[in-house]
Amino acid sequence: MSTRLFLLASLALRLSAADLTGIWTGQLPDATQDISFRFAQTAATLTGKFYTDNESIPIKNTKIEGDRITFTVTVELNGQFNIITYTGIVHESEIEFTRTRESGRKEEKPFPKQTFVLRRLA
Amino acid sequence: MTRVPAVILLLAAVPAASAAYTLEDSQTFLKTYCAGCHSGNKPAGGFNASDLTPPASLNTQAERWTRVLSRVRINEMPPRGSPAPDLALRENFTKWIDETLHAQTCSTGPAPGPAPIRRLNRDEYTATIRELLDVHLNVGHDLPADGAGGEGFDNAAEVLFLSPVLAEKYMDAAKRTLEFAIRDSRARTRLAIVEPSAALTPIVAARNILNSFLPRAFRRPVAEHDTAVFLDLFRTAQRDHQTFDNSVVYMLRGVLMSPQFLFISAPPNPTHQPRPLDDYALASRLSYFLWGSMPDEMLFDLAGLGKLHEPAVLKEEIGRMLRSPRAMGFVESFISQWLGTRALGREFTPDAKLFPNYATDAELRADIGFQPTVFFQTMLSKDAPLTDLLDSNWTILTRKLATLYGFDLKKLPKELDEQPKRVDLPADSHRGGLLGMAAVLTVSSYPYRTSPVLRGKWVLDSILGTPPPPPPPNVPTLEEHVSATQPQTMRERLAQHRANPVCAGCHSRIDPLGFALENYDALGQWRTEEAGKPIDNTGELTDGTRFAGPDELRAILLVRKDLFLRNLTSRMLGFALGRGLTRKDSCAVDAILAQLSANGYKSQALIEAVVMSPVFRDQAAAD
Repeated sequence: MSTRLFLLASLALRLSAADLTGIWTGQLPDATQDISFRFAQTAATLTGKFYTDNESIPIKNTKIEGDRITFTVTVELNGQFNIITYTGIVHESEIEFTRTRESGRKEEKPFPKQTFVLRRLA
Repeated sequence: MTRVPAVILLLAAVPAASAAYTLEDSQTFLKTYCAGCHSGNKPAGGFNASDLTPPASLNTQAERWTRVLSRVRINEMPPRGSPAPDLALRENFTKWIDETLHAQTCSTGPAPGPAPIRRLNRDEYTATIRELLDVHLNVGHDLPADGAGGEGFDNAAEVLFLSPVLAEKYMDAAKRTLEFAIRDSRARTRLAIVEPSAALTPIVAARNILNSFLPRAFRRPVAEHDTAVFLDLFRTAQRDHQTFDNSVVYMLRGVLMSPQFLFISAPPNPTHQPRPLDDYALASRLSYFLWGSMPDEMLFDLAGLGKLHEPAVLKEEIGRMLRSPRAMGFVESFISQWLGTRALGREFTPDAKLFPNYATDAELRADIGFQPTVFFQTMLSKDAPLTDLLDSNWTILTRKLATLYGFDLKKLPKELDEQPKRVDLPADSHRGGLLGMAAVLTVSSYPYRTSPVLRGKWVLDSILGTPPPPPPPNVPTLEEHVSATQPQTMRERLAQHRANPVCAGCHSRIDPLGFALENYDALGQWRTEEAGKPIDNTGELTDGTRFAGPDELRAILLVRKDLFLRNLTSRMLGFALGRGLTRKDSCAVDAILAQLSANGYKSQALIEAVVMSPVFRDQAAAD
């Protein structure tokens, strides 16, 4: 019990030590596309947006559990809505993300999992 | 000693350094060629050459020295009919002034220069409207093309004024665009248009639209007084019983016609010291440089956080922006204007009878036009050295380009189709760098034949940044020498031209460079014969050194890469700043070149050094 409490406390400390508020950027694995987010964190609440080429999309369904964060971004492409789920593990100045897409169309294959790292820009 | 190194040592195409030239020599020049008219109580043009006698005049009369430099350099002075110096004397004199003033100006290092307010040019206006309203219309279609100024680009403040006629055209363009946008669902979303209701009065709805639209249109945060004038326009339309949509269009037309939208500017620096540019102004300067359009939301956010000017952030943003597809606009605009290839298919078209492949094949025309742009874009993405522009073991090819260049498609390492691809060149391909590209070779020819003079001048101007002076008046053109009874080759006709001492000075520098490219016809196709005679691609420089063909010319240019890199850097800096460079800016060019050298002349290093330079990031002190 005390060990679990200690672990939880240390996880909470790790996360609080790394306030996510700010602009984070990285590149997708093929290094051809940049990916950027702006986060605002208040205690255990995370809000933010995903930057696209010419606008931004709010992140939704955010969750912070220890050093793990999860949220979704809904992207519209040609009238089709795709929900992309981002799961990240927070390190000191980096977040290691995995993203998966739920297809808007049943017949469409979900794209393969992608893993990438975001670094704090500002 | 092989032929090329001999040439390398003696590249007489470029004026030699004037290390031995002294102040006394300059005074002799002034007395001999200037004082006759520019002396006494009533000197011609109010300009007295004796003002330039004291050594201190280089400091106190720097502007006058600069005037002398520019007038003598372009053969405007001494005037026709007066005793004139020969080319060497003229060049030594101007080079000495240039170097002396430069050393003096740069003794305190680079400093920001003027940041004139400038209008969005046609392409920038079109791209900005597209980003702002999310409408994919060529709204600049009816606007006149902008002329080139500054360092040779159409984004130079010097030429981007707004005449009443042009203002009317912008007004029409704004009206058409907004009338389309108000009916388009995506644009309405972008404009945050919410219909008035019982809970939302029209004026509050209009204010909401402005609050969302105005900061992006003005590319900075707005104050209450910024919105008031446009809300008045909305009220006026409402009083005139216009519908809500029409009133919004009327209001937003005002925004798109306002100087805050149409012109790029920075808040003035009231202090007497240079200071960093305001982050929002920096965001605009950066985005119009690398994207030819307004900043995106992330740049705005970084400016809002006051972080954009931080070197680490700025460097990251340069990388992100260069990787963005939007950077293609910058590459296309810079390359096509620097090399002059923008004229291809516009003011310049190869003769249709002589080059039916060009005339009839739109895909080939596009491939030719696009090759230098994709080449430079590939260089940036791979961070290739800038010297690849002079010579490279790779190029960009499509199937049609490869065929035009006479490649055996089966022997190329990649299978080619209509998409441009980076291809490693076989040995002896003669296609490395810019000089092997059809676009360059075509715009430096006449529509119906090659011209060693045009090509030589193109190399001196576009590549080395040492353009020859304009021809003196009353010198007959080459064509007038042609005799119907005595057909001559181009080389023979040029030799006759050079026999005229008035022409020899410049043509002995120009022509050999063009001769080296004679294996390329006026469309850039390889040839070994012309009119049944073997191509003579040899050149002889003024010192008697001989060389042959494009590959030896490339080798010569590579050894003189410093001149090329200075020219490229100056052009890039002028493009980035949107104005012509001043003498003070040449100090920044020095500093950028030093950084390039330390970074192995990598292409991304050039962009980064330009942006990180104080002349880009800072603004000058108030006068």
